[in-house]
Amino acid sequence: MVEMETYDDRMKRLGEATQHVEPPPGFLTKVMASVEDPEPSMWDVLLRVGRWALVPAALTPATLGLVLLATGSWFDDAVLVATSVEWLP
Amino acid sequence: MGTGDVQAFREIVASTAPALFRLAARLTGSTQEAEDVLQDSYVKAWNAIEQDRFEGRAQLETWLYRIVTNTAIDALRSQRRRGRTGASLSADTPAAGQAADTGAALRELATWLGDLPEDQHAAIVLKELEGMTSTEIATVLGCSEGAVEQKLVRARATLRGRASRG
Repeated sequence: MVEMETYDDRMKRLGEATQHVEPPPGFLTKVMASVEDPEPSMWDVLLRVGRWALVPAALTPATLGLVLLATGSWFDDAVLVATSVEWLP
Repeated sequence: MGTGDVQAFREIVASTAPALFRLAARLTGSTQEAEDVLQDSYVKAWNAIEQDRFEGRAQLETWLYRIVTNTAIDALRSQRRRGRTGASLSADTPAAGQAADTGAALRELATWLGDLPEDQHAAIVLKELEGMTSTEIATVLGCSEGAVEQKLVRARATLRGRASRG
């Protein structure tokens, strides 16, 4: 008759069998290398890309403003109103 | 980053790596996965220390156990999402100097505990294999002692039930 291994016996056997699992040789060096010179995480990469994506986003309103100034569509009107106020020298 | 800090951290890694590697292997069922988990954990710990997020309220070793356990739980979730269980870890080659028996025992452990929810899986490994007290497990898992006891009772009931069914 085959005896069933009890929960306690199985846990004890597996505990003993895995007691001497050890890190592979060179593990410490590998960890210290990743700590001293970490690879960029996904977030770092996204942030870097995102930062560059912000440049055109920031430039667009500025460019638009410059174009409006150059064409003078509203700038001339604004100057006219400002200079027509009587208290201005 | 000071040279002294790096040296101090190197000493921490050297003194804690054996126990933490064993924990990660027991949780993930694979020495290769354990290597990744532990490396990630040390990088997280280093970043936290650099950013003054380690407040010293917990002992350093307990805090590292917490980081490794959480990282291993994330790895377990990821394994399960990919449908990778202990049985399918058999393709992993044993790490250098690793006995084949140890690899087989890790895979058996992963298969046996594989159906438990991740938190029960972690609680049972910390209690039965790492020999921690419920108070220590509560600190590592970030829950109350009562919650730890509940996880252990449920996990044991599941595993014993499975044994009695063969």
